[in-house]
Amino acid sequence: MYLFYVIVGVLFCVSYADFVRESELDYDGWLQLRLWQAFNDDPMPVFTERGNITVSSVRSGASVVGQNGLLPAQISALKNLAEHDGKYRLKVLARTSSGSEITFLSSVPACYLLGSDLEDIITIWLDSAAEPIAVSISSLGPCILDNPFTNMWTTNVVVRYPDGGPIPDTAMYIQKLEREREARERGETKDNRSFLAKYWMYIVPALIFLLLSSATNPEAAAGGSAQRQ
Amino acid sequence: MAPFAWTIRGNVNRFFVDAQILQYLIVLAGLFNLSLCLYEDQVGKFDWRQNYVGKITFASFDTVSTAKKIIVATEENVIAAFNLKSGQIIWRRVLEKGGHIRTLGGVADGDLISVSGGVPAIVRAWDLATGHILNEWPIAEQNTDRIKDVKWHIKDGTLHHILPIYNSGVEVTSYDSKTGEKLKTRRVSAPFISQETECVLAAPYLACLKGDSSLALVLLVHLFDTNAQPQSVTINTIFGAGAQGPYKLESVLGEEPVISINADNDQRKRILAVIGELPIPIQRDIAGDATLYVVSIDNEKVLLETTYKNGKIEIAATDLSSSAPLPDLSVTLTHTSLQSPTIMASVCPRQTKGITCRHLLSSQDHSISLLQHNKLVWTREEALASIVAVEIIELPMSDRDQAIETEFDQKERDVLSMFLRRITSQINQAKAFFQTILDLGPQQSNQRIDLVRDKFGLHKMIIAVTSAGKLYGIETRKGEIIWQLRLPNIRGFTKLSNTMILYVQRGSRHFPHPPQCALLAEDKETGEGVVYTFNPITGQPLDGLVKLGYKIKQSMLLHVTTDDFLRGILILDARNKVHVYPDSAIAVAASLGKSTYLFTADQTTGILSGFSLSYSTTQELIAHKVWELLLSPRNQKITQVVAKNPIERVHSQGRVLSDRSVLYKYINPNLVAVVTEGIGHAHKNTLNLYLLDVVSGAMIFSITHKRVRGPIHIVHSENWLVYGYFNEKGRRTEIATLELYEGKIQSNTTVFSSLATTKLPIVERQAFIFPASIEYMQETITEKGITSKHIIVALANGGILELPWMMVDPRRPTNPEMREEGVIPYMPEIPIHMDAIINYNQSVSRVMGIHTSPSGLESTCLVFVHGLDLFYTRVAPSKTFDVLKEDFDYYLIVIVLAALLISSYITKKLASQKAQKQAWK
Repeated sequence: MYLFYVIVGVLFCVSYADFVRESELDYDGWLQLRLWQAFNDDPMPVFTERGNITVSSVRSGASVVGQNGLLPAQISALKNLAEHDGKYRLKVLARTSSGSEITFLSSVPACYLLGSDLEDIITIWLDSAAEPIAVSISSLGPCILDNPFTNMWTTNVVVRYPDGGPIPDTAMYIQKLEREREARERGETKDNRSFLAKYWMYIVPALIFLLLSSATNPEAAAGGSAQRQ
Repeated sequence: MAPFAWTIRGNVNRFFVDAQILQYLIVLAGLFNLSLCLYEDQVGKFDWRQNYVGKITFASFDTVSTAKKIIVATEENVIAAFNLKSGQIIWRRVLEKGGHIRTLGGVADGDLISVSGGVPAIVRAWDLATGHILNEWPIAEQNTDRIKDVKWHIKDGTLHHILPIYNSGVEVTSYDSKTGEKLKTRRVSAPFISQETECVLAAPYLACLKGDSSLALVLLVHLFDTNAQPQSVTINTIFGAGAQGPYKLESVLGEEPVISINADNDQRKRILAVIGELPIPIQRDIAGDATLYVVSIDNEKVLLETTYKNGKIEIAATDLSSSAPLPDLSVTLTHTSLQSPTIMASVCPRQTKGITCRHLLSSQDHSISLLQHNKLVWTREEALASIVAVEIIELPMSDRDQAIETEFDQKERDVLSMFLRRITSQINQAKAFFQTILDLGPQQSNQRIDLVRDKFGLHKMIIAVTSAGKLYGIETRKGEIIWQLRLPNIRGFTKLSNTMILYVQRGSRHFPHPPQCALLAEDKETGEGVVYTFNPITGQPLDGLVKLGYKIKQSMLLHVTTDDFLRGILILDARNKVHVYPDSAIAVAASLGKSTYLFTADQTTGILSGFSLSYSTTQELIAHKVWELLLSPRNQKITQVVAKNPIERVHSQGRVLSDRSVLYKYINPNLVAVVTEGIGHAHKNTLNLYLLDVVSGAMIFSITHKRVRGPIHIVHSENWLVYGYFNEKGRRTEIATLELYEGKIQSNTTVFSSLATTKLPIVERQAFIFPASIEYMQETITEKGITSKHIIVALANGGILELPWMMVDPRRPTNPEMREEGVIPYMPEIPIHMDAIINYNQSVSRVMGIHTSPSGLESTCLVFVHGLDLFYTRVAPSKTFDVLKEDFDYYLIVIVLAALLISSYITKKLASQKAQKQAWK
């Protein structure tokens, strides 16, 4: 009777436009994730069904989340887990459009889930072939041991794929050199540095030379004085 | 007029004086223009190099040249010549990587021919005296799939390519070994050869073993006589009745056609010699573990049997045909550096004094020794050509310092006992002092005087573990081997490309506890883990070899020590159970359980998993899985998993930008870089790099390079990664860098927590063209991390480049207007300056690894490069800012200071006198 079945449609538009220079994803496809959770404070997890996530297009990251709310017993188990500094574990079975099934395990400190009122982020990382390589749960926290306000999950789904690797920027460098060369040819390079900045390399040795010659020539100075006498 | 002439003379004089000053000035300016490179007189002062060749596979005495030498070919694909008297390398040629030398011959005829590689085989003719290549030609292999069965034979300047053809015969193709001209092809009939037949070459015969029971036959085919029929000898005629199979056929080394047959499970063996066209079995049992060699002395054939028992080497010489023992030529010898040796080459010339034999021995630990009659002339430690694990550790304090340490390093703080200790130690000091004065004091020290810590911590000890299971302690000043020991029956982890793991459990700073190192490896027979603990300064075993009884999957050094300053090792076995070595560290490990995490990466399955020890009790450690992810082996193969150096310290938390704001670094100690290479048609030549937080299991960043190829060399340090790869599209080597920043606000100012940080870092990235091929990369490390980082890059041409990290900074601006302080504008190519090659002309080949270690000086980092050669030096990435120059003028500064002090005092006095006079006025 306490079972709520809620469908939270989260359309997550990946705002990568300014971040990813080049999408390395050649394919598009869908992903189905089935989620199991474990609240028990024990090395061996006991998994119960949590819900499922469907990512209709991995390229756009659009997803639909359907999952059960937590029962009071589950919340108290979560609280107990948080008190013992334990970890909430999530098992994910991912099915891809290419037909492969991959199991992932992830965990988050239970107190973070309580602190964020059951708000979590599920991040799906894809490789360059659009196969999932990691599904991990995280929660912003903070770490609090109070009862959550709600028994509903607020799940954000983020799909990420690899960035394109950098390549040496030769074209721009050559352009720069070309521009400089052209400017020099046209004689347009106006050297607007000050006189000193331009010719310091000639002035400084001359100065030193002058200084030294006057300082280390006592005989000339002596001779001069002798003549005057 | 006179004054005028005088002035001219004066001017000329003045000009000369000035010219002299100018000269000085130029020289002075030259001095200030200090560069990274060494002066000529500094060569070999801070560095040393040692050359090796590797484990020998073929050897031959060169007795025809005027300068007697030994020619060897090794597993590392090296051909070299040794000086007969000293064992030093006269010349060495490092051939292509990954190739194998199939045969070496022709030395007796005054020329050296080597055949290496497979498809196509490359034949090279060498000049014996200088090692210069005279000619090189390839042989196109007809049957590429049967490359393993091909045998080579070199005789009288002709190279024979021998291939047994199933159910038909043996095909012998002859070439002129110098020009590569094909002379003839003939086929010798031998229809009995099938896929199961075991054949060995005992030139000019091919000996084959047919059958496995007591009815087995040994058949001999004469390769150069097409008319001759195969001759057969039954096993029963060799062994008599009652020998049990399986039999094993081996060709006996030496110039004569002699083969040995093992029987009764290698318990015994007998030999079959072809004497005058007829195979004659020698009716004498030879120990199964003996290695044989046939040498000819004045046309007499002598069989040398080498056996090794309890550290004693016995070389028994017998006449081949009569089996009469020749006691004059037999040798019995005990030497620590010889372990289960095999005679690789032997020569017994008749001299005026009689016959003296020289044997070149190759030991199981890869060392090479020359034995002259019964005297060991020299030994070369060739195991050092295959180092798998290195640590550089501090030397202990001198005895005097240790005595002072014991005085103060006491737990009880009772006044009376401390006073007593003080008195006794002073009496001891006084006693020692008088003993040294009277020169009668016995040296109580069990260590060498020079093996003590120096002021700046520059003199250290290199602990090198080699793939042969041999351990070395090498001091860093001259590269002298202080101790060596061999662990039989261990091998590297097969899953980890045969590396072993070396941990420093306790350093040298905890007197009276001895320093302790632990080596983790696999047992050769069972594949289960073994731990060997030893004192790295003396090479003495501490707990000896401990068999663990389980397979090691992952291991980790605890960061907290036990009461006696020993850091325990956490070991995860193949069934995910956690163990601690030694057992005394279990309490420490359990107390750290809440914050201890382990991770594993499996190359075959592609699974990466993380374990937490939070459910551990003081009795038992329990690992439970907290995350798991899969890098599908269908798409990619994990090639490298790189964590940061655990002893690294990051001094600056951020970077000051041009607008005086701070960009904070993302310094996550749990960050691990996982590099995979794509497999399959679609993903071939892609390189993926994933940054993974191994505590939370969260992926931090991933990047893909397309159309690039390995091998990938990667350096992971502070908040950056540098990796080199080969770009297929541009056909050039490139270096890419990633730098991670948290942003303008630091999320955790005191301590970093992987579980609390969910914000992904900003990743700066850039790529550069690198105009050389990279063999290995490693970053420099210093004690406090204040000194800027350089990257030590081993180049394929034998140079070792010190590349400032500033050159590969991803924030190097492409736009010259956006300049930041201390950042060089972007240039796509990284120039290689010759004065940044730290090994100047001391080229090193086949670099397998670079180990860097901090010294006692913040400015200086110790660098040890290993591969086929060893090279050690020290580098100062930010120049030696904390040391005075060697030629610093102490007297001058003392005089100047004293003068200043006195003058200030006098002027003070004078000033006060003046003030007094003023006051009186």
